[in-house]
Amino acid sequence: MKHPEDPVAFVAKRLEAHRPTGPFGEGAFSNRLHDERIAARLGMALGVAFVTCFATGLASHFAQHPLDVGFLSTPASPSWLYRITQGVHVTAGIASTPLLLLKLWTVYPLLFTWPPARNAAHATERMFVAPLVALALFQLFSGLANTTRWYPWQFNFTVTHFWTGWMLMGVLVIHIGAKLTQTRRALRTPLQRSTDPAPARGELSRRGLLWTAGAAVAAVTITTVGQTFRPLEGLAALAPRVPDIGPQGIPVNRTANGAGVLQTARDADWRLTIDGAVAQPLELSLADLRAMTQHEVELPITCVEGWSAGARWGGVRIADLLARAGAADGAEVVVTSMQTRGSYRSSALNTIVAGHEHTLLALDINDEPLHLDHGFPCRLIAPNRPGVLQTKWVTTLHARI
Amino acid sequence: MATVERNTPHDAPDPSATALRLGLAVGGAVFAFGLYGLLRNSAQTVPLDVLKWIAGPLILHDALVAPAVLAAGLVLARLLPVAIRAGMQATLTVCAIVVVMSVPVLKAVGRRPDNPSLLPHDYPQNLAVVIAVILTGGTLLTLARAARARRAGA
Repeated sequence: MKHPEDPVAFVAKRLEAHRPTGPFGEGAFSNRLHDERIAARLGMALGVAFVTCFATGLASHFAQHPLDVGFLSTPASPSWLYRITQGVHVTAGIASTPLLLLKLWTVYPLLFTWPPARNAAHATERMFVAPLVALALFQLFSGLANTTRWYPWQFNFTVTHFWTGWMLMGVLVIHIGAKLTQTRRALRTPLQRSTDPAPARGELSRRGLLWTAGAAVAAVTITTVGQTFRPLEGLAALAPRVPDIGPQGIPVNRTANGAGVLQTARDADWRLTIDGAVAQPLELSLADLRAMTQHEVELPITCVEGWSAGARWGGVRIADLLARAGAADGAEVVVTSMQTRGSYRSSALNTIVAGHEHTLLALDINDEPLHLDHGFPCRLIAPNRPGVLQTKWVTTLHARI
Repeated sequence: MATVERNTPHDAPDPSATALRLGLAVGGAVFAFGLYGLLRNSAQTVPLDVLKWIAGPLILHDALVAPAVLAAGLVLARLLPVAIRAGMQATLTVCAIVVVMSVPVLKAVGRRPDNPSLLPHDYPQNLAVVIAVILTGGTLLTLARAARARRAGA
């Protein structure tokens, strides 16, 4: 023992003589694939995927809850940025699931290590394995369930997934620190050394298992990534969304019925109110809006759940509406919907987005008036913005300084 | 010996004390920040419910799923002829992972009559097709490898 003063090592030494049978017994897990070389290689890939998920998750969080502090403000361009980061977020989460499952299989025998900890350092490392595995399974399951809008729990998904993401990153860093030495050794060791016995006939090799992992990642990715990556749309057999299925060929998250606006959205007396920090508060009818200069933009609608679909939107620039009401220069805008249900009734446009030439109050989608489910009579469409903030069934633009 | 030699506790190298301490300091702070946020927003995060959904999958996996998978692996190894064993194990592993990950779309709990764009496919049928493709591809690869091995051996 290296640390004779270590109480864990002291206990471990006495436990060694009392090895239980069953899974704790010598040679209980004979498969050679329970191997640190596999665990380390799968672990590296998982680490990259998890860090990618965390970074893109943070991007999504701050896109939905903008800091609006100088350079940290969500930029309006590139307009496709959020589409990429959120597509990557969901895709990396899906792709990492087979890696996690296979890694857990590989290291499962370590659960029955005897003695349970050989010294204090080993005890520290093992203490954080359970929270790591539990949080990793939780993040991947809750994220996957959310893409299908399946909520078997009571907590709010977005808030919880965000905070448990930090917790997962924390235990992951601890795990990497504790496993660094062993991982480096394992990665330096070839999968099949000259001293290793050749795989017996009928035995999956270590390389074979890694190919299996790659094939599983490919299978789950190819059958879902088409929900955001249009060229693979035809292969998205298991995706919860398809970019061209929905009213007017575009998917919908919250329907007019779900938002409780079936009557109010069709009311002929509907008026758009522009108020707040403006010289002249305005009330505009749909005909008034149609009479203004119309602009067209190609922008994606990107949902946090991982799907996205591009469309051509037509309507009035928010900047034109602000100018018409005589809003102060550099005004921000709070866009409010007539919807009575849902937590995204309104959204804020910072100065950059409000004044951007591609930020429209859209009346048309692909040259047709908006379907009720897409936000008729008018909806917000702005570049680089999560779908939940592209407020539909707009009633009020409130300018503020 | 570089295998994960469980029950030989002297094999795995001890972590470098610096890496372990640094990891604990940085990772511990990040974890604490997350836990603090989770508890501070308890109205939305419902920490006891989160605990249930964090501990549940862990226990489910370690106590039921993993032993079942290991047992299934043993049974498969007995049933499959040696020549195609490894290839078919790999193929069936991919199939099992695809099936497990399809549970949410198969359940389709989120489907709503007023929103045809949500979960638009016939997922049981699509899953059957995907599994058939993987099985076919995996079987062909396995047979090709077995034939090559036989030629090399002959």
